[in-house]
Amino acid sequence: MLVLTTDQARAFADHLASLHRATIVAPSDPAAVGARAIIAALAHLSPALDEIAADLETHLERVSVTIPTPTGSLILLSPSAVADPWLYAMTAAHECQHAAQREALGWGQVIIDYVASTELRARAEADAYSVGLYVGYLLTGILPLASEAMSSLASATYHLAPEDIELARGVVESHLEAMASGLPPPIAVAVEAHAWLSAL
Amino acid sequence: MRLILLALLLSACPRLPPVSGCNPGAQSCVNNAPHICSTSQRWQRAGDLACSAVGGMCLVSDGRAYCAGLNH
Repeated sequence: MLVLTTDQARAFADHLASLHRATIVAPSDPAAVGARAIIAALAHLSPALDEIAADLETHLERVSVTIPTPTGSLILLSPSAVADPWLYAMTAAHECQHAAQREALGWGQVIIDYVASTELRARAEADAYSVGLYVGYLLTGILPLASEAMSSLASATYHLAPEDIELARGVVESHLEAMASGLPPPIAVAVEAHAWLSAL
Repeated sequence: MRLILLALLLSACPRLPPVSGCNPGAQSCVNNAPHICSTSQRWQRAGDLACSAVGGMCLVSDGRAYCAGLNH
C-alpha cells in the first residue's frame, strides 16, 4: 500500500496533465465557473450535444469531466474527487486519459467520436476507467474488479446501450488481465502513472 | 459562428474502424495489441499501445486477448 499525501496527489495529477496539454481545475478554483459556462454553451450550440452536456452540467457535483478545447484539455474535477488523495490521483489519471485521446484525435474529432458513436464512447471510457483502476492498484496493491468500472459505465451518465457496455467490459477485462500478469495496461497514461508513482 | 459549428458537427462522422465481419464479443490480437469485436462487427482496440511497449506480448487465452509477460 502506498501512502499518498494531498500534495503528492496534486503533483502526480499535474505531471500527467502536463504531458497531455491539460489543465486541472479544482472545484474551488474560479476557473471552474468558466468551465461550467463552456459546458452550458456547448449545450446550446448543437442539439447533438445537448443531452450529454445537460447531464454533465447536472452531475458536476459528483462527476469529473474533461473538456477538449482547440488548445488542449480542461479537466474539471468534482468535489468528491478531490476529497481524498487516492481518489484524486485515480480520477485525475482517468481524466488525463481523455486528454491523451484529445491529443491523439484532435479536439474536433474527439468530440464527434464521443458524441456521435456510443461504440467509440464506450471504448474511450473503458480505457479511461482502466487507467483509474490501474492507479488504484498501484496505490493499494489490490487487484481491482471489472465490476468497479462497469457499474459506472452502465450508469445513465454515459448513455451506453447494453451492447456498448459489453464492448467496454471486454476492454476493461483485457486491461485487468494485463495487470494480473504483472504488466501495466497498454495505455500510455498508465505507463506514465506507473513511472511517476514508482519514483516515490 | 453557431451555424458553422453546427454544420461542421453534422457533416463530420465518427472515425470507426472498418467492418470486419468478426463475431461480436470475440477477442483477438492484431498487431500485437488486444482487440474486442463490437456489435457492429468492428475490431476495437483495447488501449493505445502495443503490448511490446509495456514489456509483453499479446496473447489470447480462454477467449480473452490481453498483454501478457514475455515469460508467460
